[in-house]
Amino acid sequence: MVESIPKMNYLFTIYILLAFGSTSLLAQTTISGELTDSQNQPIVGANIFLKGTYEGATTDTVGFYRLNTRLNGPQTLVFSYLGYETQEQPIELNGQSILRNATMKVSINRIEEVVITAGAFEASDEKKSIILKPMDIVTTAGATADIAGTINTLPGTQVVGESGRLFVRGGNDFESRTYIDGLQVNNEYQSSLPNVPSRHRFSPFMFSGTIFSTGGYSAEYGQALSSALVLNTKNEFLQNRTDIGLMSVGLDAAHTQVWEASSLAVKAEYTNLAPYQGLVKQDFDWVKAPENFLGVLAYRTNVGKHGRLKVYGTGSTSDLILNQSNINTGEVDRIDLKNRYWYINSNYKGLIKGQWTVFGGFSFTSNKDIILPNTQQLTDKQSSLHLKAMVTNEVHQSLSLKMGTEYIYNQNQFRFNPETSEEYISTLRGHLPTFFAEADIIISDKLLTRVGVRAEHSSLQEQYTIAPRLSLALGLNNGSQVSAAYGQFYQSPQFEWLRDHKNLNSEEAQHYIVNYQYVNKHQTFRIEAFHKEYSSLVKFQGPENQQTISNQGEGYARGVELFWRDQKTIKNVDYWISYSFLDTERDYLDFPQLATPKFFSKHHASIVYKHFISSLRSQIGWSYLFASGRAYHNPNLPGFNRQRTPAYHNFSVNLSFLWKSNVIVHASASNVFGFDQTYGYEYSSQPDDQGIYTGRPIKPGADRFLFLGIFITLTKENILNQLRNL
Amino acid sequence: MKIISTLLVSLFSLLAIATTNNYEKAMLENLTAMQKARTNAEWQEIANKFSRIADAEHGQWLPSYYAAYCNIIMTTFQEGPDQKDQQLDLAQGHLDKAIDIRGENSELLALQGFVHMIRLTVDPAGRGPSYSEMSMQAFGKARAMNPENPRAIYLSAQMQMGTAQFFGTGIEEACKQLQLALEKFQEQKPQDPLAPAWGYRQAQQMTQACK
Repeated sequence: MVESIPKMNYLFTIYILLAFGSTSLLAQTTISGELTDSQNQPIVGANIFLKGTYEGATTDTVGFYRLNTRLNGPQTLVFSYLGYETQEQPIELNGQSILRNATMKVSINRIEEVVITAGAFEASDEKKSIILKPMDIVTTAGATADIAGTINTLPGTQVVGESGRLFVRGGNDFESRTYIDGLQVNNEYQSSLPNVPSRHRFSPFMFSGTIFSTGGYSAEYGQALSSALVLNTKNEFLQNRTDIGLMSVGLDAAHTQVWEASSLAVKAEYTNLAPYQGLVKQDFDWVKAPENFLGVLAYRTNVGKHGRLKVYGTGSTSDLILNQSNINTGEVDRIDLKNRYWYINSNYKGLIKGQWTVFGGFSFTSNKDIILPNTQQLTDKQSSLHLKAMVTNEVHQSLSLKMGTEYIYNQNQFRFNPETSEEYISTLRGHLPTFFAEADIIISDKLLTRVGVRAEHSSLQEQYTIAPRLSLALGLNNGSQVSAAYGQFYQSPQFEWLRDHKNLNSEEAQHYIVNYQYVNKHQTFRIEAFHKEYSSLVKFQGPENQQTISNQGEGYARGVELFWRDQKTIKNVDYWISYSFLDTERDYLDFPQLATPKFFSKHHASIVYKHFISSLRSQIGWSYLFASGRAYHNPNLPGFNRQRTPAYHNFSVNLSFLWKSNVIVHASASNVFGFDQTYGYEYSSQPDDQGIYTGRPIKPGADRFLFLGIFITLTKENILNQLRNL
Repeated sequence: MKIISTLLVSLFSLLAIATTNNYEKAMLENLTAMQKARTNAEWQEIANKFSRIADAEHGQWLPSYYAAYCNIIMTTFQEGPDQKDQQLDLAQGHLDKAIDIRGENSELLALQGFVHMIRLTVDPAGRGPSYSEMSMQAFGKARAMNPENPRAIYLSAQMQMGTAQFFGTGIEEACKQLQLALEKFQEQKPQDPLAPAWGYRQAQQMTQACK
């Protein structure tokens, strides 16, 4: 027993030593210091701690910290603060006081909004520094929720009333291309007859982001000389909901069903302009007002933890009959236009091994127009397939790579059954494999560059093209930055010309853009100058002489554009002003010389104004669009395209009233003052007996368009509404 | 030898208890401090400590949960929308970590809805439509998983109140939900002293709007 006591004591000592570790018996160490940023300003509230332990401290208002610890030996001291790169330093603790100051570097993620803005307008819910929100697209007066209508209030666009399509910076409508989730859409406008405007088929419903690019865009997009309109579908639907719309032009119903890992949204819409046209006098002689059935389906499902599969499909059928008087024969042509359309888009996006994002998908468009002018029949059938696979990799904090390959297949069949001669049939098939690669390089915390290249091979023209793209953005102080872009763009000629002349080469454009942008909390100012050089455009000698067709056409477009948006100066008011100056000339198609095409005006301006009145539960808005005279050609006068139409004015208003939290009443009227609008003039192809070409103005089908709708949303809580869809 | 082995066994079990107690002790200390926190600096200090505990204790979701909560509260001290968004990004980071450890539960989903709700307040006109849907979905799921969770009910009442005030519609439904939340707050009996218990005071303050 006597012996065991010292033994017990010995064990007890071990016990104590172990229980309290090697810490408590040794002295306490104090680490202290100051934390500053690269401008030598103190960093307040930073977390300084010994890695893997609870021991740590927080910097005070002068960036000073003091950390007392009983830990001992080699440790890692960590400095961490929101928006700065975390630093780790090895440290030896031995009871001596230690002084450790540190200078922290701003983390790349926090770099103030240096983004490439040259040529791009982005609308998104997610990103912070953007110009428009998806909401803005759908609440613009005069646009009647038409994507093209809203985008026409942004600089770089031209209102072409008789077409309704987007014309960007001196480019024809077909030079702008629409993409959904990065996959192309063909025939994105509803089919229409000459001088009868059409609408974009895709309503803003179901899209969470839009990028409208007026030039210099990414190597990911091709086959568009002027513009890319990129629509992104929602990543997920969140709640079961049913939406019902009763409109003066028809009705629609939509339902969204949400399950654990997937969701499905469907929509059906029927529109018929007959009742409306019965009430409001029309200048067009409609036999059958446009009637349209539309169905939309969107499905999403999660695949694994980091993957998502999306399916988006839409189909529609429309019919209209119009009597148009023929300027050449003096007779009335009865034209019947039937359209069958469907589009499907499916894509998968997933994350592999943390840093590789893979994307794969396809889209298919099928469009069939049956046009029956009098007793003849014309059928134009087009199918397009787009396959795309792409990977992106954040190789490094300051370098990300994007690479992809695409395959585009187009088939066009054109049949014409004239009464007098034999049937004409032409079928065209084109294959277009593509490869593109692009790198985003962050050179410094203020300078970002994007370098890309796109290579295509067109089977129809047997032509290889390589298109380089380059852009950069330089951050200045306090929310301002400059950005510049250069790019080369190729596009196959239209089927209209390819049908009989398969040897035509791709048309070409080069873009040069410089942009300055200033953004603060609620205001945006930007100014952009551009120069666009067209070459290899399709050209022939006069309309009767298409055998002389070649790629000798050329042209240019240059201009300056201003944009100002202010959500601050007037309370509850949001307005934006756009101005575009455009100087463009071309020598293409049957032009005898360089001249401004008939679509374009020199000056184009718009104001959009929205006022939310909380007490009235209403948003009222108006917009005003102005365009100086457009070019037209009067064959009775010397020169070509020398004349100008009167200026264009359009003042539109709209009102959204929240009747109940889930019921919205929406009313809008375009051109409320009934300004006389002349889009251009057309002339007979042959002079009459007196040697005079007869002419007449091209005008809208009615002075105004009025719209009234009631939109009801049913959810569990009934606090959601369709405000965003209007 | 027997004595030594007995001693060693008890020694290791004591060590194990000491470390868990250390975790609990640190958490409890910080939770007590959290109740008293008023200034941004105080919240920051507490957030930092939760973040340190989260870094050291890989298997625990509560430190990350509270770190996320502190960062949400701290957005009220931030002025600019970018600063608020940054703070919310940080909160979301902690929240994601907690969800990774624990999987979705009622408390974490309620906090997720809270993050969305504050994101909405940064830009109500622009973000309203999308974020109101996102936050209501998170609250709905949180309430489905645990209908007794007073925080999920209180936060969704707040969301309804905000929506009603923004559109100038009636707040009766929101007030009814708030009453329900207050009842559930009084009924809540957390067995775990570290389990989320905040919200009663805020819910009581909110009743002012219903008077």
